[in-house]
Amino acid sequence: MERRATFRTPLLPWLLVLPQLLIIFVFFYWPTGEAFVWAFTLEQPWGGGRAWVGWQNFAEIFSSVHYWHSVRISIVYALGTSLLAIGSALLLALFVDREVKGSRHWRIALIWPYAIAAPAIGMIFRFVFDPRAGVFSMLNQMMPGLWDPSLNGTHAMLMLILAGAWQLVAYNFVFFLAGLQSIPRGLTEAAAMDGAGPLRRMRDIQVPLLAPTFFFLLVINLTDSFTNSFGLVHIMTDGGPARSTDLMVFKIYADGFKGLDYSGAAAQSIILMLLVVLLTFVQFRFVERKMHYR
Amino acid sequence: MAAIAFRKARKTYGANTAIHDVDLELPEGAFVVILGPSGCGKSTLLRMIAGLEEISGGDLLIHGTRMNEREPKDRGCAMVFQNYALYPHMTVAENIAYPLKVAGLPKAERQARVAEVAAALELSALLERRPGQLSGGQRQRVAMGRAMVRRPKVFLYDEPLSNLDAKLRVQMRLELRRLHEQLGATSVLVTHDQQEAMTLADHMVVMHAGRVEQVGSPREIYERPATLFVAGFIGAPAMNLLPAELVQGGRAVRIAGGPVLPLPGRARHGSAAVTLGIRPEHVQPGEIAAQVEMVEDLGSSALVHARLGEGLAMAFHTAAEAAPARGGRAGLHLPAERLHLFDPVTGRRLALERETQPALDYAPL
Amino acid sequence: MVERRPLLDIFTHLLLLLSALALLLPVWLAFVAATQDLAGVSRIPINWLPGPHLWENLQEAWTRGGFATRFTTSLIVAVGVTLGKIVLAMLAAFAIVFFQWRARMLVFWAIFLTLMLPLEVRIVPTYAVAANALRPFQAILDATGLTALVQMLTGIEISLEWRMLNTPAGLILPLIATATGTFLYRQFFLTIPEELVEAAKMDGAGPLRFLRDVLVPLSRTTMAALATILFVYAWNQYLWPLLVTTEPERATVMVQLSRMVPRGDALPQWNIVMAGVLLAMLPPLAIVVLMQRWFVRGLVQTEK
Repeated sequence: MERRATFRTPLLPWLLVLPQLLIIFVFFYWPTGEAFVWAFTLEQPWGGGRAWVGWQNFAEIFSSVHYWHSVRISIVYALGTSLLAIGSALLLALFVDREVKGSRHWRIALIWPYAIAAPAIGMIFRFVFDPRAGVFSMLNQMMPGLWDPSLNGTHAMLMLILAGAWQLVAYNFVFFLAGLQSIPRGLTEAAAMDGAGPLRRMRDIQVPLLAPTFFFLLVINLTDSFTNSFGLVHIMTDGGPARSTDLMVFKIYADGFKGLDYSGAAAQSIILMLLVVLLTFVQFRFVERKMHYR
Repeated sequence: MAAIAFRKARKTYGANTAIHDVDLELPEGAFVVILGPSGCGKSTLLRMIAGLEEISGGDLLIHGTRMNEREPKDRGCAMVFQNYALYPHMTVAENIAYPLKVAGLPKAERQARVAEVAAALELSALLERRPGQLSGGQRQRVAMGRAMVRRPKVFLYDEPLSNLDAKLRVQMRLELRRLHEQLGATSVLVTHDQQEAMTLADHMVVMHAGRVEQVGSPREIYERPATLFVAGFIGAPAMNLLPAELVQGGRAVRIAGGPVLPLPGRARHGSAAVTLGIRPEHVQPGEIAAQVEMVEDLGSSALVHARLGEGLAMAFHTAAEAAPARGGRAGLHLPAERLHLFDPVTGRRLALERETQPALDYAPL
Repeated sequence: MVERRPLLDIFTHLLLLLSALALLLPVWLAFVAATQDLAGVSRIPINWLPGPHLWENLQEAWTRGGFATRFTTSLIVAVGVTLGKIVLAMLAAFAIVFFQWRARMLVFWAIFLTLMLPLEVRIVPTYAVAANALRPFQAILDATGLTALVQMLTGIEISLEWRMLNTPAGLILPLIATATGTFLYRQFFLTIPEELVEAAKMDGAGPLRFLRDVLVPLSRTTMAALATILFVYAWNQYLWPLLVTTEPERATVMVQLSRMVPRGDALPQWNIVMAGVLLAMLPPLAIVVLMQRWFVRGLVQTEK
């Protein structure tokens, strides 16, 4: 990124970055730092500030059955959502890429879900899967209890994963399509000359060449599922029934703002941060490098 | 007074030296061409004049004033870039007017100046177009116009013709020369194309590896290359360079293991080993035997690649109809007056002491 | 390419059509629900075709949700985030790409690192900062002993406070504190040919002039792309507005949505709720559909 054509005004660049630096200091670095302080301290109930407690907050979290449960279901949710969304997006992109005529229209027909907010789609799915009013209401009338996400944790999680995947499909689709369109035409044409039909070409040429996009999307989807699931959970299940959808982000919110356990919430935040940093690191270390062979 | 002068000017990037202590004077009103292979520092030198590159040591004088610390806009220079660097979102008129706008000239005057420049460059019909809608030659002229509109004392051209196709390049070359005559300013052009350099320059500077190898008129440089590098670089096809040794006390030279050639003067040199040079176009038919390896028919003439007795490669021109067959034999004559001698170690040209004045009508060695 | 696969073509179209419908289905059902009266929406089995009550449901949702003020708040937030981020991002990226200064790489990394952690994972302390945005500075003054010093010398206790809860600033500023835009702008600036900068220098333009006359006009497409995704991003925010608007009157559209469903076991009036959902999702949807080209470009560019 070294450029030779640059300006050399000593003060001006500082003035230009100052607003951004101020904002990220106050709303990014300070809170992140404070999360670390809180994670290792406890507010004294009778006043007198915060007392250093070392790893105690973490020890409490790690010995909590609820926390491990939350981690487990978060992983289930993240993997379920990501794989479902990536798989269907890949399939769609492969066919949209093939369908040259009208593929612009297909594109708009498939990307608009990205514009729908989590609370909105959460509310819609909650209605659609409402055991008393939604599409399953008839089945429930015939066989009571067949579908009830408000009582059955598995149903609730399934509903959540479907909504999460629905949201991500569009995003993944855009990237797969961009990836497909960046594969040199010459390659598919060469394969066609070699006698490979369209399905064969998808399998032998396009899908392998999309591997970098796939890994990239996997990391992004996982990160998004871990951090961005709050809206869906809060609207659709409120963590229930019986903590069956108590995902990590939601638990931080619930423990911090409902339970007023700032230190516990901060320690949980730290763990989630480390998880996200780890995913980002994996992306930079392995995925970014693989992207280069395109 | 020189328009531009470098005094021990140096440019370093960390530990790397791009320009080594250059001393150079460029005469006012001349068309100066800086020629050299890519990476020789010629663009850096030009950018040092422009003020786009800081000078690490030594001085730069423009019309006698030291300019090292001046900003580009205060040096009285205008520049035409290799890819023209036109502002893609501005029309031709806005592009040309931009330097005046920055300088705060009133709109009416700007328009008048733009109209004047556009007329000189035949751009008047294109003023409302954007660069994207122009051909390469037209863009080139807009870049010229943006330089001209400031009425600078010095025009700097960084490989301005290299993005044009061959035919257009010849045409623009003439145009550049015509504009130079018209404007009467000093022009400094950087190129790696020796044909372009030979046709444009009043004053040529050959550079190599960050150093100035030779300064002079194109003819001087062609006829008396000062170093082995210049000898090999100027002229197409390149000069034949052969290992040789001085004999008869420096009055003759022997091509390694081959014929002895008399010299028109006496070469004084510490050791006997020298490098002998002769241009393909100066080889004549004669007595030295050569084996023909390949013949390139160039239309008006033929270029023959041959080997001398000892396997030394030698290229020469003949008339197309007189060209020998491939695999055949040819007899060559290397005229004494056309020989160049170089020190193989330092690469410097060896001078000859005249003992008798030869009655020749071409320039003496 | 000449390739005749009529069966595959039909299959392709069929698959795409079914997928598009599957994506559309939930929203279609929501739309149908929003056109029913309460009896229609509670019918078993459900209605698949729209009824005549859309307009009255929309009106009911609009008044019941207080959407007039909610929309204003959301619009202020979305526009504020979009503009704020674009301006800050452009200035910062300009400084990072076009200037040679000592702290350049340090500043670049300081900004770049913020890409790593989304707001959600540092939500608790961020809330504390929003409660008093000057808290970091107060803490620094306290820690360095300046507060005590000033109090000793002047008798005045320094107490900095800027309460941001329930204010537009509190809604907007934390959402701006990431580097997405900066990074996008940096990528764009790096594609500007260096000779353009040099030409501007030769023409006598200084840095700010160059920014105004060359970079801003050239970055219009980047700006449009960034604006579309930022607007959608900001409009659709939920967790942060939910926390920061402690007074219901200050809520955004999205936060209001969650309040339209009764907590507990009562059956929601789904026709009204779905009408509210339609209203809430309309603005970003319109942006994506109308500015599809920019939106896709922005989406792909911000992640690379």
